[in-house]
Amino acid sequence: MDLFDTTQTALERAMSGTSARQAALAQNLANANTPGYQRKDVDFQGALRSALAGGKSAVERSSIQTVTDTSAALRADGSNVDPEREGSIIARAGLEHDALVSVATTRNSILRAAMGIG
Amino acid sequence: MGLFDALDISASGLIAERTRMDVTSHNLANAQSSGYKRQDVVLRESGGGFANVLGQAIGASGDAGRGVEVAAVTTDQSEQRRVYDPGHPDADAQGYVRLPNVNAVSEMTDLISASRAYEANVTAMNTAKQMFSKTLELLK
Amino acid sequence: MTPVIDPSFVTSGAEWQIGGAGQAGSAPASGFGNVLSGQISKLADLQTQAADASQQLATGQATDPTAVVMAVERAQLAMQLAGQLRTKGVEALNDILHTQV
Repeated sequence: MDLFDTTQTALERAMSGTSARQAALAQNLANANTPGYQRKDVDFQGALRSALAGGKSAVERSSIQTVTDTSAALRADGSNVDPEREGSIIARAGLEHDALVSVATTRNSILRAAMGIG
Repeated sequence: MGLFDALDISASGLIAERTRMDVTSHNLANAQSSGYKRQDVVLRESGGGFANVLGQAIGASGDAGRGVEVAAVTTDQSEQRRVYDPGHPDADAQGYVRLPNVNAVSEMTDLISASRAYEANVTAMNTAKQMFSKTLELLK
Repeated sequence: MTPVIDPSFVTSGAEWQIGGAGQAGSAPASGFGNVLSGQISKLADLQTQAADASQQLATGQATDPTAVVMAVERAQLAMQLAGQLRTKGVEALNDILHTQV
């Protein structure tokens, strides 16, 4: 008997993605003054979107990939990390993670209410 | 439009104010460099290019906007100060040196204004984050 | 000596009849069964809307995270309401079945 639907699996996969993203963004900020450093990001949302069409097993295996971002503007020392931009991206990624956690927790409590617990 | 966009808009404000600060500091540092022309930062509402204005006139989008962007860093074309100093290495035939028209008081005012605006944008971003945390408390 | 109980408080007999409660108020004459089935169909819709909004949040397509939170909150409240209706309905049924005649 399957307790968790595809949406719940997608939420959990997205939470893994946002956690990995936080690590990559922290790495960027730590290297804010490193000459020649190229910022990194984690790409999981596109893979998750296409995996949702394939059902729960595809979602469980959808890819979470660390990529190097070469599109950002270069500074004089060859690094492409903009501290203000990075700070706002970190804030947004943190809020996305919090939102996913809250939504997943509430859906679990909906499941409990349906079962007659709590 | 939503709380995530508010973060991006505040971030664009931070970057713009930091650029203003950089240019003002550059002006102040080069206040005595002969031949230097002081620079100005021109800010404009993000998404204010021709295509976007045309789109809004047609009635395509109803968004509040995407923040601020640095339109240009322009060079001040006004006349530089001519100071009589024949001993200066860069003095011309008449003994005059062209020094930048950097007014320290007005540059300091720009610096303070950029700093205040930067802090205001940080406050706006923190407020957006707090509002979102409060929204998530609904789900507890 | 004036009566302790004001006679105007005594209601007419019509309001005490079964089924009369619907006529006394402004609510349409819908029974508990209709209320329950209406809530259940709305419940399924709200759960689907919450699931769609959650998927959009997971794939990063949610333009307004506040709307996602509200959709999930509505789904939770609806499920809790359905649970309460079921519990009270079952309790009422048990009371009726165990009434000594």
